[in-house]
Amino acid sequence: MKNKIIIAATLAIAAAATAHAQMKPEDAIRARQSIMRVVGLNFGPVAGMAQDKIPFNKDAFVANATRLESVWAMDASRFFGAGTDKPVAGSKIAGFTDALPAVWSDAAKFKAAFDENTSAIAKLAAAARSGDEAAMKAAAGNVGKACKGCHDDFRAK
Amino acid sequence: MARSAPLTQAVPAWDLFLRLFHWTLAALMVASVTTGLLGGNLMKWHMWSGYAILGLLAFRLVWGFVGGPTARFAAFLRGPGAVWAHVQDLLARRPAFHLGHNPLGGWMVVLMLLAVLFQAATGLFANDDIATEGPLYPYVSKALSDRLTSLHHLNVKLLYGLVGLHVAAIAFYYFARGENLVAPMIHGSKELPPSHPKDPT
Repeated sequence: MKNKIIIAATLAIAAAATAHAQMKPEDAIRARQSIMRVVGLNFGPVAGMAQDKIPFNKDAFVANATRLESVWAMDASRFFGAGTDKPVAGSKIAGFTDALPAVWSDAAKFKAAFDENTSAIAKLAAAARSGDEAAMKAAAGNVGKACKGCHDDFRAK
Repeated sequence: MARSAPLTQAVPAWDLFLRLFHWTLAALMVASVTTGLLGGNLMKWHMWSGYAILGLLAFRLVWGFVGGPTARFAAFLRGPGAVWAHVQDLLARRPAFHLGHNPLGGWMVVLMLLAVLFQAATGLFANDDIATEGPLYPYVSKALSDRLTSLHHLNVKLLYGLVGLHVAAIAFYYFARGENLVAPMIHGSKELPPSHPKDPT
């Protein structure tokens, strides 16, 4: 009996220690949403120029595309751990999440859809460095499609 | 009875602008669905297609009052009695000629126009959380825009259903009742029995 208590206590401490090493769900939700927000802020002007909604300005395009690549490299896909599939009760900062259950139930497909955009953004940054306006605009369109491809399946509409 | 007497007469059914409206709207709806599903830089054309559809709907509203005889709402929006009578004609497999919309089809037209209007109107306030925002997005809260965006996505399914029903009804009239409704929408006239009164319904 005494042994059992000791084992249970040891396991509880070990579990607590592991949990401590992990990010809190509300912090993880905030992290991924913050990254995506900044991704959007940098992609907006790029897409706007690609669609002729705002005048094309090469320097602004390159600056935004370059920042986009950096921010995307922060890898928001790391922050979909256990317990981050729903709002955290009582938390002011994780009051919602639009992530669909498919993120966890079809994790491989989610990762593939996410990586699709990693590749599209790398091509956008490469096009920006090349300075070819048509290539830059086309690459921006492909990033938009990759964003949508993942949102369609893994994000509530 | 002279053998040369025609069994039918060609009667003007749909005016030119109504026909142009119909086929332009059909083409723009295909364009909207295609650009919306593909996304990317095509979202620019998705928005232009939406504006053009709003323009067409505005025209259709006006044309419902001043257009050709079969285009007018007052001519084709009939009461439940007329609708029921048409349903009975269908059930009894009785011939029932209507120069314009039949009493049942008239309400289907209103339903489709309202669904398309709802689609275009919600699009004005929508956002896709990528890089596309409707022109009226700045005037509403993000939460409201998100809700209208959800409805914009949901209403697509209703539109698929209505378009499917529309096409199914046309197939039904063609195969089950021997009435070609597509050709008159192209060339404008319907073949009716000589005895048929030339009233707009």
